[in-house]
Amino acid sequence: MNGPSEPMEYPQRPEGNTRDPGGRVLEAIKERDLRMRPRRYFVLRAVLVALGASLLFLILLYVASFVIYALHMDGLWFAPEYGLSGWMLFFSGLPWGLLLLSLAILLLLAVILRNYEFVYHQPLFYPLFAFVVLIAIGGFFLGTTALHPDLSHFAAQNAPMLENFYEYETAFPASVHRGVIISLGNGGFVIADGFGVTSSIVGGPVQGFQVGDVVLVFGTRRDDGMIRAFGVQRVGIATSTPVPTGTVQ
Amino acid sequence: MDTRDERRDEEVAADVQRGDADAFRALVDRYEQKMVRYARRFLFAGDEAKDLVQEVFIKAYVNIQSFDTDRRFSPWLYRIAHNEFVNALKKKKKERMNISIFDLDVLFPSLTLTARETADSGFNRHEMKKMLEGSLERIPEKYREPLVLYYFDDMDYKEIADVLRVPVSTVGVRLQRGKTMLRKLIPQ
Repeated sequence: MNGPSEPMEYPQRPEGNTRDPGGRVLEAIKERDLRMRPRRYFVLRAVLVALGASLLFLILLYVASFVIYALHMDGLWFAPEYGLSGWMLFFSGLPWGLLLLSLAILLLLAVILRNYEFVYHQPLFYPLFAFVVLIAIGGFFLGTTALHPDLSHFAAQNAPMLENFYEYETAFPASVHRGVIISLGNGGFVIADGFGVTSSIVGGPVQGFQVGDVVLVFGTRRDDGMIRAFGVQRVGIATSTPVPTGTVQ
Repeated sequence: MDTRDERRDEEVAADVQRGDADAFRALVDRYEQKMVRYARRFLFAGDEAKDLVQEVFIKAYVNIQSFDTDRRFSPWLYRIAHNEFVNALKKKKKERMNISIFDLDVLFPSLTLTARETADSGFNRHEMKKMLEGSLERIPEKYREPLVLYYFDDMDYKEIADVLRVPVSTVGVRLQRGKTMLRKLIPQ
């Protein structure tokens, strides 16, 4: 008997003429040169494929949630609210390397799953689109939980490379400035950053803000050190007003 | 009298899975000629077709435990043959074949058909078969294979989709496009 419980070997190829290909194969089976692979081989392979696909899916979810987290941290998430300049800032500041990596992983996932009916029985666009939506929704929810702040905290103490990654990806772009409003004036205000360094803000919507508001200012710094803002976003209220230590010139 | 031949392929395959290696003979008897014809029409292979068919049966036997007996045996065996033949074509041509899962007709099948291609070819099945016999070689592999499976192996769209692992609508697109190519090749 050549049942699945017996030890199996990968076949020796039948040799000789192939005038009767089926006959040669049957002969090889009879002579036990050819043995079937056991069912457990295919079960194990299916499990490995499922594990590999799940791992890729989790990596995608992590990357997507990290992108959402990073966009919140560096303020770019709010930039599109301020028109074309905001959109341009948003796109120029997107972590394109991570997004391209995600695309590559997504295509790899499609290749791995292409032999499954739920993927190949419909136009490939649909499962790809479904994956993107699922990952975007999952990434959005994960990105707003404590996962990444906790990971960032953990990295700061235990994993310097991961810490560098978190710091690099969440750093403010040159056109985004965070600080606490320390004084208001006509057509502008002054903010102080975490080190007490102050910057004067001109332009942009300045109404509705008050001293003590923590704000993100979108705009470029001029040669005289002042920032011409095209958008200002309140992100919180400071518990204490920073003491000015200097001014950006 | 041996009643084994009256059983369905799937029942025979289940016997093989249970260890009845002799039952594999019935499957070989049923499919050997079909496989050789499939290889010849798809690859235009001579004696090489028999080598490839031998390889197909070897792989079928070795991997028979992966066959789900609740499904049809024929598309499963043709899938093995498809892989074997495509690999043989790649070796022969030493170039990349245009059969990728990221083809436009796999991504968006319905968008890739032009109005001219969706028009009825105007030939019945018998006429198409006759015309294909003489012109298959001039049709690219990507369109030739579904034509062979549809007109010569009498598979339906769903079965062809299972063999090629593409959406059913992609099978429709490739068949339609293959017929359009054929029409251009046949002098009116």
